[in-house]
Amino acid sequence: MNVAGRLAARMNAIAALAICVFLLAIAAWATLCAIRGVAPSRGMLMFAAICELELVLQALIALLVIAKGHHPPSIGEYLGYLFVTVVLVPYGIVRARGPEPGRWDSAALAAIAVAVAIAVLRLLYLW
Amino acid sequence: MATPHTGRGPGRLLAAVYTIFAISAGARAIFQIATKFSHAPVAYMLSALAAVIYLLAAVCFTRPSAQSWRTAVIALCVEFAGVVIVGALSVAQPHLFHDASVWSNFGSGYGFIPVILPLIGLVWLRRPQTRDAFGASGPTQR
Repeated sequence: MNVAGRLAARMNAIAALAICVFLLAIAAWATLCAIRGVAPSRGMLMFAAICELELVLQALIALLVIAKGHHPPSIGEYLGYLFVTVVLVPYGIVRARGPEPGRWDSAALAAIAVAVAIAVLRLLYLW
Repeated sequence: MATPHTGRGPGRLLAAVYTIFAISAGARAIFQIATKFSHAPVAYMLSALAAVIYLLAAVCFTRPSAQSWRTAVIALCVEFAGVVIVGALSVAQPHLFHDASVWSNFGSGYGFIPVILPLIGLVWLRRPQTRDAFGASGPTQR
């Protein structure tokens, strides 16, 4: 791999880790809400929505690089996890905005954030 | 007294976790079947089966009825049996699986959650409050 390629791979890793930290922060915040017995706050959902934008951006860049010729060793698994990283956060947001949200929606959002963080790390590993 | 319903209790978390697993296992299986099915057909079909069971359980958890309760109990029993059988086979006869499935090595690729999840689900389903919420109270509760 040339210098530019290595630099791009490193930037990619830094961006993925930043998204993971962001997701774990949301998970910690949502867990605190669940312990206190309250539904996810508006602020937390805004935070989750910003995180989703980052995830969509990451997925678009990954698809672009794949379209340009990069080939992850197990492309099927990679695309599967890529799909997971994009769909789960909106699912958590929609749930939390449903009728009578409660502490268990906070717990569900925490579980989703952790699951997506794991999927992002898997993506990094499979790239 | 307010009528209990699964819409607010821990069932909401359980439904979310089952949905996460249905999407994760399903997406992975679909893309693997589409790109390299012949590489490990058994493992990929097992992952797809696992995804269908997770989805069935998640739907049952969000639509409480006596029928849902029975279906969920059967789905979770099948799920637990699947994890144990596939887990044991993947350790004893690894040549049967050319690639990991969700249930290989008792779900070690997913932090062993696949083997713990059905047990938590069954304990929750058997609670009297949950049975009442589903309208599936057993003879002992009547």
